[in-house]
Amino acid sequence: MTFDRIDRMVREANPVPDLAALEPVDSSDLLDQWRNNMQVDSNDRKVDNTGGRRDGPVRDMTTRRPPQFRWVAALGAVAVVIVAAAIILPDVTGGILGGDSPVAVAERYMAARSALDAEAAVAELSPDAELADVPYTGDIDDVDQVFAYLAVLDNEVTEYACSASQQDLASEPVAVRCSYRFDTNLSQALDVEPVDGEFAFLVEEGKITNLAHLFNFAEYSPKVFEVFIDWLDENHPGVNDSMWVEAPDFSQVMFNHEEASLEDLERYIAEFEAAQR
Amino acid sequence: MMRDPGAVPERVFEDFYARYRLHVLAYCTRRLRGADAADACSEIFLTAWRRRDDLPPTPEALPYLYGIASRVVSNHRRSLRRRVRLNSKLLGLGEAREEDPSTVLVRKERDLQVQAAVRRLPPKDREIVMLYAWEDLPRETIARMMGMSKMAVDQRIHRAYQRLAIVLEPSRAAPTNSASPVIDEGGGS
Repeated sequence: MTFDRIDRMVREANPVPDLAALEPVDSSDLLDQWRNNMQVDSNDRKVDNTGGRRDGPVRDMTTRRPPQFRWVAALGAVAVVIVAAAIILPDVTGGILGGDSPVAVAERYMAARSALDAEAAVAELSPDAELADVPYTGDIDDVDQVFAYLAVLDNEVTEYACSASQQDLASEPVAVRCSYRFDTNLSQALDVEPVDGEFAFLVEEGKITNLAHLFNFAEYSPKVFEVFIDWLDENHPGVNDSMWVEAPDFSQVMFNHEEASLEDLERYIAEFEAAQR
Repeated sequence: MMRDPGAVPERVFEDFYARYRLHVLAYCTRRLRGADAADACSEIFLTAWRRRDDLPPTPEALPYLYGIASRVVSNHRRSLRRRVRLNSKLLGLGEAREEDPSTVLVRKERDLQVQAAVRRLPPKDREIVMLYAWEDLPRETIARMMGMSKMAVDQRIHRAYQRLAIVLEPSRAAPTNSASPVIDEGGGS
């Protein structure tokens, strides 16, 4: 590959190739916002110039939305969907169905997920399945590397129970939900109890066509993952910068799935576990 | 530099803002996702406003803003990692995608691969490649911004492109080009 070709590829991949694409934002509104911000800031500066006294509260002049509000909204939306589904669609247990029923398909996936058996999991997936259990790519081809990653975290989903969310199983796709208990070696090292979560499947013609992993990470993460991230920052500066990458569409920050990083992660987790003892 | 303290009236800064807002928003959008990019852009201009007495003249204004932007985006990345977003990804959990109509992202598969490969470059190389290929800055300007020689910038770009070649076409050799230097003068596309 020639240098010029790479250069052209990189330039063509520019996420914002044209500034005009950003123009839908109403400039006049933004200018008004800035005028207001500048006015407030001017007042603050004047107070500062009088000897550092501030006669009023220090105000944040940015127009930023607090990130946590977005998350509260997102989690709220997920909760509403779950509650609505639970109310509208009565469950039918998987035990009644058995065989190759949608519930049985989901149960087999859960068994594979619990055992981190990628091959068995893929066997239950439609080739074009959309997966939200895996990172952004959500592709059947990513299952291997994701399961390898989850194996390093010793991620267990146990005590799972699946049920169809509709009575009319002839009407495909059939929605199936599987609850479970969730644990990792990180939480064990920190003595954090396993928590409940849920997988939501759509099953069509005996294969999973859509999978979404619903988990209350807002509660779990501060107790476990943030502790680990902070520990990494403290003990291995720079590692977080290389180990996690942004998804190309900017929607997520995620593990980079490089083999070397996987080995590093395993080593760091072992070190982290030892440090917690 | 505008040296007279307090001499930058609001009107001048408004013009400054109107002139460079899209460039800065584009810079942020190339490095952060929509909502975070807008937040960062706001923060960058707030910082510039607070330092308005030091605003450089036009030719240097954009590199000056990119310098602020680099630090702001870096801080955003750090805070990103500490937010639940990362933590959900630690287990590969899905997240509702947020579509932002104010940004247009090229979603072609190949472009996404290239973008992913660029994002996996070492931080300094990544920033230089983005400034060069996406912000379309001349290498001399990048060198001034990064506090290094133009030759060092050339070398980093070349090294980064070699790495991209390996990542994007692993079956092929690193980039070859008999011409030396391999980068066109001017840095533009």
